[in-house]
Amino acid sequence: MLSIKNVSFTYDSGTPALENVSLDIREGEFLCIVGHNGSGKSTLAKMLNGLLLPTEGAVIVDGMDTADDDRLLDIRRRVGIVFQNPDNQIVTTVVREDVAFGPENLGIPTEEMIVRVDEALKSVGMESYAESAPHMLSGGQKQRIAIAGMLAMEPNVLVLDEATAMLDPYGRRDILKIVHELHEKKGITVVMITQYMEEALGAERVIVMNSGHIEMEGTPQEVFARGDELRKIGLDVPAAIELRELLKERNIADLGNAMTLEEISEGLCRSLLKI
Amino acid sequence: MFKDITLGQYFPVDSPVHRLDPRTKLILLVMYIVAVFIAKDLWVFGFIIAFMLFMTAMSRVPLSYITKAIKPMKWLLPLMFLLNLFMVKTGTVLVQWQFITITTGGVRQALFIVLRLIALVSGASLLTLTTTPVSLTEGLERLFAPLKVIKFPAHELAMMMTIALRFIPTLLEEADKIMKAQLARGADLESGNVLKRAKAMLPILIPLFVNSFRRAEELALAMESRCYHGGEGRTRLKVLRFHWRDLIAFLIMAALIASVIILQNTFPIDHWIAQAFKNLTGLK
Repeated sequence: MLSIKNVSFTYDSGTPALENVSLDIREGEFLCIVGHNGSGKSTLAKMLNGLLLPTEGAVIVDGMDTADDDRLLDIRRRVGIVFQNPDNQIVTTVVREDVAFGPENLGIPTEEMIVRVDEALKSVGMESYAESAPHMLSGGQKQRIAIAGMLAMEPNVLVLDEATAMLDPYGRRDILKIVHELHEKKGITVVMITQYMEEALGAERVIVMNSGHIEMEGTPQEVFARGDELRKIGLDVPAAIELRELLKERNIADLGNAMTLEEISEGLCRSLLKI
Repeated sequence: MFKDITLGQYFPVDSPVHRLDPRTKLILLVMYIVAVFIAKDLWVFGFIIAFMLFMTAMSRVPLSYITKAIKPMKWLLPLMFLLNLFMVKTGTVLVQWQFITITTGGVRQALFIVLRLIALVSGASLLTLTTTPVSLTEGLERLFAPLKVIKFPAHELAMMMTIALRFIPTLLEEADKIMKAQLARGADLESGNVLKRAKAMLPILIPLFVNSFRRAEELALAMESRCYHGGEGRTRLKVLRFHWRDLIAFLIMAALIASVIILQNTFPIDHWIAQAFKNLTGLK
């Protein structure tokens, strides 16, 4: 439904950000794009709804080219992006009105808009803050409002461009939980862009970006099994997986596909009790 | 430190005046200004100010808030009074001493200007005291919407005001943070003369300025991502509707204008007093 075809992009300053990237985002999948700063992952995010246009190649959303000005609103309605800084994406002074900003721009009739706004606020658990002023909320709460603002446009794809980077651990956990819920319950396609490897563990597919091209692709299991290659391009392996690999290497326990610390401690207890 | 600032001077209570549609209140203010400007008899001002007091009582805003709004004019008012007193030379001469001439016309004009200013400022501040900046913006946008035909950017102006209101607390918070960061590095913001202190503010203003450009850019991206494309074809979550109370308010204000006109034509008390004064003193 969203395909990136041989896309290259060079900034006006002459720095190449993407080089011949091709990627298909499938309907209903949970995709995670990881990479360190300057790997081109944020540039890629801005390509997805036509904020940036490829210098070469094309981005096609549901058959519409992002380079086609007339379809831009249609594309942006389908692909919602939540950005990094929670402060800089809230437009109005009341939470409810901010969530309504997208639908207002789309010209949704008021009665339907009220339903959409209430529903969007409910799905991020912020309904009790509907009348609050955004500057009184925490970073995590603001980011939830930003997600609600996108949901109110009823997008098919939700892109999170390092949306958790500026949050505290609690805020980050809340956002992750909400995004996973939206994916499971509403079947929304999620593209999560992050530099936290832990966040990639819950994804169905992981893309690793490095200096403007796709370095690796696969399930979290497949990608994190290549720990040495990841480290070579300056990325880490989630702590739990590293621990699992070390346990296996030193012949203490083979824990198979355990991905979280809970799974590891459980597996470890089991294997130790057997001895 | 800046988190609980209130914007504007909105006084949050519930009253019939607060509940009026912002458009109504803006039009009422214009009508009120008309009433103030057509009043040409001094005593009619007493009537207008009595009306103002009545509206203030209705709005449940303490009178001290209105007087607070007049306070900044404590230099302007006496200045205007004196200027008119000495400059206007119509009517009967009351005092003639060296180059100073005070006439009845001067006294009248001086009182007139002062009362007019007080009436105008208290009317305008009653509007801002009973209306939040947000609904004021909304009211202005809708009132000026018809002017879009002549390319007046009503929506754009309202959008700018909304964003400004939205970012004032954010920027204040940031200024506070930067200030603390600079203080921690030994910046001295409080000693020295005005020039020195203004210079010490630079390390605070520059990062704030640079950051607000970055914010503007990010906000623009976020707004575009949310399909913002100007005011065209936009619907609104909140629909302003006129109620019966708006009609009553219009009627009351129309009654004020009508009574100002009728009162000063049927009872030109100023004129009568002037006549009586002339007859009494025999001055011409």
